Amino acid sequence: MKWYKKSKPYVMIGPALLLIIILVGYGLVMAFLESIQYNHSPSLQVYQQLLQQKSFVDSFLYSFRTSLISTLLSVIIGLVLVRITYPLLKRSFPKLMAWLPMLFPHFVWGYMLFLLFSQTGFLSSLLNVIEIIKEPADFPILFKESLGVGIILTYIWKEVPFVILMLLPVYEQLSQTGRELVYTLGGRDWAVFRHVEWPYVFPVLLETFFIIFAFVFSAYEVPALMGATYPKMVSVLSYDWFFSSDWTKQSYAFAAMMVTTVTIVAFVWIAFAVTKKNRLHLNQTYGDGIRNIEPVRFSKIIFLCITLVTIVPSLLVILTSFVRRWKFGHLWPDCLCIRAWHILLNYEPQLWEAVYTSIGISLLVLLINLLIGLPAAKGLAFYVFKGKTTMETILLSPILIPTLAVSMGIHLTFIRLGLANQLAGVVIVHLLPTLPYTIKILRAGFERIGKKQEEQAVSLGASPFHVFYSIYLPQLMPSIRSTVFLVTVISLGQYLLTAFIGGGSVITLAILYFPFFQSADDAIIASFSVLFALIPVVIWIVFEVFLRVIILYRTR
Amino acid sequence: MISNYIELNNLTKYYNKQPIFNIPHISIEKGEIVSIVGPSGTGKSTLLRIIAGLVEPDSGEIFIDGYSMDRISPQKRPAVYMFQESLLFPHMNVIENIAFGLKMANVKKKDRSKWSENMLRKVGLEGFQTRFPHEISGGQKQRVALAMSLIVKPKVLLLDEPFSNLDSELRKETRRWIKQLLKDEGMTVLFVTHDLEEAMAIGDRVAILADGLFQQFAHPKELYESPANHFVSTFLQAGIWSNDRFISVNRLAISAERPIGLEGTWEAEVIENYYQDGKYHLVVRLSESEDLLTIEIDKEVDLGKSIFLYIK
Amino acid sequence: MKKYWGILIGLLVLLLITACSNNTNPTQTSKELMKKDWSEIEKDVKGTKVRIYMWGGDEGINQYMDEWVAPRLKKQFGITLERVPMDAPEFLKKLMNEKKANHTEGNMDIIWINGENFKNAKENDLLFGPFANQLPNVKKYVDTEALDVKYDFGTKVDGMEAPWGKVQFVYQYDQAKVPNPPKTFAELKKWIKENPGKFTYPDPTDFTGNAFLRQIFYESVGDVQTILDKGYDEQFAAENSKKMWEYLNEIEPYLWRQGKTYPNDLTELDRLYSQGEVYMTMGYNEARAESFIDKGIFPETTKTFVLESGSIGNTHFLAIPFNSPNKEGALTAINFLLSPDAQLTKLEPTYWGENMSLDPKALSEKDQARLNSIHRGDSVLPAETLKQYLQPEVNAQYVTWLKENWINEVVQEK
Repeated sequence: MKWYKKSKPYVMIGPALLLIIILVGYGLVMAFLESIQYNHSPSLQVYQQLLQQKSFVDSFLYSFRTSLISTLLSVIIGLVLVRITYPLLKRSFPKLMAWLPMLFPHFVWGYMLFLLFSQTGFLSSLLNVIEIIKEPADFPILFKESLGVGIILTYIWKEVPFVILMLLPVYEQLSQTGRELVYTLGGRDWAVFRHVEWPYVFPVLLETFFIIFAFVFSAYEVPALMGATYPKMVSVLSYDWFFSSDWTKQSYAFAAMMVTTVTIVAFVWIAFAVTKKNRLHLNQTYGDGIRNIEPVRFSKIIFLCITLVTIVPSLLVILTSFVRRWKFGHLWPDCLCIRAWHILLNYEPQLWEAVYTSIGISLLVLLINLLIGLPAAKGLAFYVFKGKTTMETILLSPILIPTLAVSMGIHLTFIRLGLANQLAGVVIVHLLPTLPYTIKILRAGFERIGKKQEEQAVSLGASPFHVFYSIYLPQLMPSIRSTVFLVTVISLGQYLLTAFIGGGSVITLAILYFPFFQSADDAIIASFSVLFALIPVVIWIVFEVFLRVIILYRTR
Repeated sequence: MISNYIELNNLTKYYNKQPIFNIPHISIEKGEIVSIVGPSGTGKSTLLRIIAGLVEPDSGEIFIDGYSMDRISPQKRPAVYMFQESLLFPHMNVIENIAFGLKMANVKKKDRSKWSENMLRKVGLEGFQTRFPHEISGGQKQRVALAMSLIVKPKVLLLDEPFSNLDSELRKETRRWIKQLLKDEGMTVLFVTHDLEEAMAIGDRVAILADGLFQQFAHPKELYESPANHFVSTFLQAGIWSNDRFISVNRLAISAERPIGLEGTWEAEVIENYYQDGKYHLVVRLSESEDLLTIEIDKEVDLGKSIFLYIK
Repeated sequence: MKKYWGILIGLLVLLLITACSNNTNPTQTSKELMKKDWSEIEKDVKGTKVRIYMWGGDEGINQYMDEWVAPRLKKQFGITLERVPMDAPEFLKKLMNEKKANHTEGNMDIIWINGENFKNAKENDLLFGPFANQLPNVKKYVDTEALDVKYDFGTKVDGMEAPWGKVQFVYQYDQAKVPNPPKTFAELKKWIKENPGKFTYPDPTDFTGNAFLRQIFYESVGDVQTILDKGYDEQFAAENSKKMWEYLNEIEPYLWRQGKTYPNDLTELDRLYSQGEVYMTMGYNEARAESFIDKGIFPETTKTFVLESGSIGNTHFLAIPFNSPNKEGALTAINFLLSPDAQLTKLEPTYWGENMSLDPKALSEKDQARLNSIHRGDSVLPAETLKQYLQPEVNAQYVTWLKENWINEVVQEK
């Protein structure tokens, strides 16, 4: 009993930790072993050659620069947006608008922006029609140029909603007393921000920063779609090497990914160490005070901007899916037809199966996420124990490490376990990119509620089940909603892991969809994109209905 | 068994290997209200949480109504712990909050609503059924919290600074009301506070907890008249310890000049004076021991002035 | 929390059970299997499933497989064909890992590969075979002595894969904008200089971009036969490629975006062409423009041309992974795909429009008549023209060599 009590947090975090250590740890070891293969004998030669290679060094610096700029801008814009609009964003419709870009996988969003901002894109056409520019070449080049403007633009567009998702809860629970205190003492808005909000915002912001930075640094799809020929992002370089037909390049791919991993982890570690003093442990108290719901100035204009920024690309992609041919300089396509949808829905027999498989996988992944994530999040939120920081880092590691680096090791493990080519394997492997987010979000949720309510309930005779069901669950609902949203979207967008582990036996929508990116058939790509975005919405609706039923049952 | 309805034996708790407290033996009668008072950080809350089963003691036994509480989970203990800030579940309305404990005990819905309506009436909050915690005042929350605890008919109610969130007027009013209610219900109560006045007003007996020990556990009158040691007298500001002997403040008089020819005189400085209940109150600090003392007198004395105390 | 552990363990057990319930089928060696009588093989496959892994980014090809091939395989042989859309490098990586893990019971029965991918697969023993020359339809209709069937990018085929189709490299252009398409590389250069920004080629990491480079390489060397005779020789390549790099650097400032960046792949080039940003695109498959015109992606005035210095022809193949769980089924399906009916249907522009791998002369009279009656589309050059300029592929290692040196010679040279 004593042992059990003492090791309780470990027991709670254990499953999540174990899963990640086994998968990521083994994957990394395998990747490292692959990277030191030089002419069939282990040596660090590959690293040496890699670091002397100009194109790699250029790529590396370019990746670092691009990631840093996109991340910084996303974080700053996100913070400013939340700061000035959070009373507005609390309402569900504006929130949905702000989150809309998250519904689309990165490469889809990149593609949408491409439709909008390329030299022959919609905006260019518009400017042409109102006679500001004469031909496509007059429109500034945003994509596929060596500064990476298009990449940065896509990431900012896509990550700002994520920053909002992370920061909004912090702002929602900030008490007003601090602000009033600063006003009384003669401080202005800046002082309020600096002394009241910043201490709470900073730790979350820092974490968000790392997550985005690591992601941008190691993600493949967007730079592959809109990067320049030279320099390439490191991720693209290692991907090309990995899948290159020259198999001697294999070890370079792994070495490049190891360098990436080490860089990201070192960067995160240094930043954590430097800011250690500033990251106060802030006791999250349940703010009982009156929340300010003062209307935001220019709230209509701000809302309009947010809506425009998210709706326009979405509408454009819907429109594109009905297009036969859309010539430059035309504001409206020559004719609308349902060819793409017709092909998609009638001629693609695997489509519906893929849709069901995708939904099924998402739901299973979600379920296991909650099952493993809830206790782990609670353990992290309420207990202080040895090795907590290390465990937190490990739990975050799947986001920090390039997926490609660990995917081969995982595949080997899964073949041996008999999980490769199985739905179960895909479900388990989808836990990797999702679980860190789940734990993150739920942990914040638990911290917001605090432990006292549980103790009060226990004292009044509530069993652990009832504590969870009557106390935590209803109050965790906002966090669970965010989790559902994020987990579904992430799980759906997983192409590489699904292709590898599912091995073609598990056909998800991403598997069907991805090859079409290699065709110039815009209408098909667009209609797929729309379908892609619809699925999380469907899951969300199913979840909400399920929830209503549960709540109905609870109050009975 | 009436005389020791609750018994604590050799209860100890350590934090980082430092003892927080060590209680050899305490027994409490049925229906008794016991105040536990002491400086902050002495483990008063921890003691209550141990009794409630929320924290494990490092050693010792707890008996309630003759039964050992060893290995009894907090859910099953006949003790209810009530939080400092009169904690209500923010996502439930008033009546759901009150009925919570009953629901946990699987009481039928019909009985549940009957009993909780009844309890609501007892605490004087009819018509507030469907309000949510953030829609009612601090005092009202206090009442709801109490109702929530009383409705499960615990053998012991453990109140942890229940008035700390209330302003002083409301505090006094609430404490009178609560004491009345608790007495009417015949409830056995352990009540923790750092406010001496509150402890005296509510407790049938008062325990003074300091330095990890129960310094004294007695009726308020006895505490004032014969404090067990120097700490208690100082804490109560009740008199002077001189040569291991206690001289109650009632036996002291003051003078502006040093009295001559008396065996016990002490020099002191006035550090606070206020008028209350028809008398001037002086808080003085003894020059010799730095002890504080509160004396009631008939006329005003200026702040910062030196005075002399002597035995009447 | 014990409850959670319970659930977790339960789940794991469940997973293991489902994972282990695979039926295991001892892997047959090719010799054993090929000893069997063909009719016996075709009989044994009834009720089995064959999974073919192939690139899935073209709706026409997908439809050919799903709507034409699959129902016929079902009807004639009782085989259920499952098409899995996956890129060759990916399924080969998967296969390699399965080899490493000694996983003898895979889930791929047929893979669609050629060139470097075939070379890798063959060298790493990832393939089942030899089998191709035992297939009845290969025996009957395929000219196994033809160079483009015997060699796949300089790698000896050795019956480890069966030829499925042939394509030839052509350029597409918009007749409305380019009335007189160039006939030689020199004319192309002239045209590029006269029309700055209207031409580009994909990054040579791309299949098509590399083929474009290879053709200039042929021209630079002067004669394909010399390269073929040499085999892969880096020294030789370095010495004979000067002209090629000069050519490429000379046209670079006149390319799309002054050659500061190149399309990552053919898709991007096609898109640029479809938007009218450039006036030419290119690619394997002499009939590729047809479906694009049909879908309205390419302008209707799109036509094709080849350069007189030659156009590379390329054969693509079907192979069977070493750990295919249904090798008989795979053999049957491949044999069916090489039947005149299947090949002629593939040639028709309805679905795919791609050339046969069969020798037209070996076809029956009826099939030859059908072949002659097929109209491949207005944008497709006449068969004689194509045949006249046909050139073979060279060793696959040149692909890698060009890829790497292009970065140094063309991109970084500034």
